[in-house]
Amino acid sequence: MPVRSTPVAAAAEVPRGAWRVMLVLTLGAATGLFATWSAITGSTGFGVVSAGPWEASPRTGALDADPYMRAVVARRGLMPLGLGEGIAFVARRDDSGAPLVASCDYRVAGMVPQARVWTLSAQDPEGRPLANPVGRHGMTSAEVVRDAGGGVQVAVSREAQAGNWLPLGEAPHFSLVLRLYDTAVSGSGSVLEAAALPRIQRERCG
Amino acid sequence: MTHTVRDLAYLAVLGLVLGAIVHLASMLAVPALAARDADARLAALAPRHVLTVLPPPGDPASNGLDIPERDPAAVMAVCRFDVTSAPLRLRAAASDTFLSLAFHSPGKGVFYALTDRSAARGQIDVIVVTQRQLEALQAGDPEDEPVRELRLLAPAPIGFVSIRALALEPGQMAEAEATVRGVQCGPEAMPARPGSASARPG
Repeated sequence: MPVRSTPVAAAAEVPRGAWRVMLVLTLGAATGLFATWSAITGSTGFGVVSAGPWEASPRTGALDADPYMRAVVARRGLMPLGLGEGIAFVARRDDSGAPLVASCDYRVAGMVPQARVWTLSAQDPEGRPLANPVGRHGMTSAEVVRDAGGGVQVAVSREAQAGNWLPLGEAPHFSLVLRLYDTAVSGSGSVLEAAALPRIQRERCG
Repeated sequence: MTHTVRDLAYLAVLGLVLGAIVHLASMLAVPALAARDADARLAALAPRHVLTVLPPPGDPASNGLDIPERDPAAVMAVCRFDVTSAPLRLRAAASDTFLSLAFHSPGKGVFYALTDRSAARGQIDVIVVTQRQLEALQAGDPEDEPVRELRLLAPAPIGFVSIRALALEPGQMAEAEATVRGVQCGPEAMPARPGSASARPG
């Protein structure tokens, strides 16, 4: 260690020689790996298409996904929908931007884009279906009752409701997934018209 | 004093530049290093070239090797493949049930996907090949007859096909499962040609 030549040097001493190399290597490894870890544990990437609270990563269903998406798909063990099969939109927040919590009731209302078939389901943050006493985890375009204008209204709540009801489970947090199969919605742009997808409105919280 | 600060700042900048390089390199390495990607998870229950129906999503029997983010309305099967020595043939009959196929190349993405809507005469007939196998197939094609099968060039010899059938109402689960089980997948014998029979070890 160098000789302390000035009174302030003890506090702001500049590392020398091997210590300088060590400092740079440690800083480089720490920041680089931390950035990678946060990128692959986070859910959003560069190629995300959003419409209101809904987000989709259509390029994961093709060969030209960016390295961030590929890394997320590999780490989470995902089997994404191919572009030729359909597209999946995930919502983790409601229209106001608040995270979806299972202790609240929500109303998913509006038009669903043109598709041969669609499904709406709820899942926990790990992507598993929500365990619930009724044993129902989703709703499909064939089951849903539409209003006069062709729109849909789905109640998302723990307690049973009249009409279209998607049950929630014990898990405190959840996300909603809207999958469109055989659809013209390609998500090739970066923003879809928010009105093209149903709204997610929070109602009562218990 | 200012000299000290400047020196430390220089080291910090150097560290951050190195950090950026480490980040980019590790990001690109993740797909290759991910030990629990979809193909690795499937390996535990699905042998190659055998159609395997997956347990329903969230099934406790899958022991944490479940594929996340699955549609609860879909019955899924997979056919893992290795086309190093022989192409993979996949046949399915279109019915009233929604059926879709996606061809995955681990670490790269989905290289093709189709639904039963693109069936020709009620049949889906796909063959997954390497470049060499494609050339061998094309060499044997009759000249006056159109090719009916869909030929897919695999970006890598190893991959898997995911097969989805949708049960649009809870009562249709059995029907969807039957649709998925009706898909045939297996290695296709290539006509032996002198000089092309040398399969690379791998």
